[in-house]
Amino acid sequence: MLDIGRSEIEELFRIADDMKKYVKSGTDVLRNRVLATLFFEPSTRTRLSFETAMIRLGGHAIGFADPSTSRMTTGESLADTIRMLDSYSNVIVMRHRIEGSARLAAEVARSPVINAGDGSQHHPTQTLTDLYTIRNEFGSIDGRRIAVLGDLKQTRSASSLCFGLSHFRDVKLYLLSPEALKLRQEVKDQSLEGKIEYIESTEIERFLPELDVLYVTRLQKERFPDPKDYEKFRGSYIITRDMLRNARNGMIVMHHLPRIDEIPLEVDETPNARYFEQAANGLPVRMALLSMLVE
Amino acid sequence: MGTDRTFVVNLPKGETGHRLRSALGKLTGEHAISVTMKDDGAIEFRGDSPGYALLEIRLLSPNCPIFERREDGSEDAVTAGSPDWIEGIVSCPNKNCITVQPKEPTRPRLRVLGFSPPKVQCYYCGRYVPEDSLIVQLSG
Repeated sequence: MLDIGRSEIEELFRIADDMKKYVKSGTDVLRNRVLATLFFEPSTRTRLSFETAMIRLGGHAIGFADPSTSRMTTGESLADTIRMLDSYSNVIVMRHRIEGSARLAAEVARSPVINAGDGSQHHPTQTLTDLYTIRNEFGSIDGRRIAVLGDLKQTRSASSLCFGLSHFRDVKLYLLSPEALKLRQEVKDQSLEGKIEYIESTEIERFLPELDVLYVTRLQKERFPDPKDYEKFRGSYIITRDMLRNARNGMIVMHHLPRIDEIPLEVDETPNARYFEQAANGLPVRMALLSMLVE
Repeated sequence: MGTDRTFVVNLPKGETGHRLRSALGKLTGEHAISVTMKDDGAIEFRGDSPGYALLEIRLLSPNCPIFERREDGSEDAVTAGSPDWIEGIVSCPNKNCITVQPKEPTRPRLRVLGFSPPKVQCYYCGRYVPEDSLIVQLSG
């Protein structure tokens, strides 16, 4: 999210608005183009929405969702895998647990490489979807009061959102997490310091009356080196219907999904819940992104 | 080949001085310099591309004065000229970074963001290199 500017983000949103009319009917602007998806980590929404986006744009999707079915299990390097897929496709979408893998892939490939999540810092297309949702809800991202709650240290959607919000004006950010799961200093230095007013706290309810957006994250079980640490934090923040009674009128609850137990089902019926609309927005946003990147 | 330039550094006493001496002595290959210890405790080094030596001095001892010796014997204080990037000398300490994966031969590339305290960030994974790791890698 640091590689693009505000004007590019806004242009993508304008195209995403146009793409909404094609999410069911489709178009053929990318006819005969091929999208390669390489998912070395599990994914539901990101992979399927990218593949659907390419199909709706008239193109085709190839790739794998399970790396054990690829030659990488026999020792093939990521760089070699990228070179091969690059020759088969017009654009590559990749998710990998190794940090910096998307940057390496972009250096190796001639086609555009879209980072669909690497390690615990970057998930730019999730952030574009999140920003698009906030913009559609409030008309503008400028001036919004946004809380990001949960495992801010290891959730790439959280750090990526901070990078994305750094492009907008007068945003106030509330970073709410257990002390041990605070946002990493590198992320704060690059996205917040001198750009965005922010506060860090372990409390949630105190800030609810001030917020436009409550962005809830999942505890990243797979990234805890010791499973006991996961159990220690599990359930440390749960948003209930009762808590939301203290929220200001019009506040929305977002989540990158999947959720575990941080948002109970009872919240789905409240006027605050926006996470399913947020997930649905991933399709026009990714259609817009593919149409911008693929010649 | 460029022209050799000569630099004189008055080494700080104690551990920092030892670290600097060790770090400069470790520069090899494309960053090779010749290092001479002076009787007065200063160190003199010569090379046609001294950028990495200057960078290492600034990272390990940000206030250490560095002088360039001109052909006429005069000396000018050096305040700039070190690169903003370290390539191939310092590894990223993040075990989950692409640059330290055995199967992926990627040259480590780190951006120097500051000197006091030293702040160095991996270009690939974005993590900071902790100061103690930086010191060990440069001079250990």
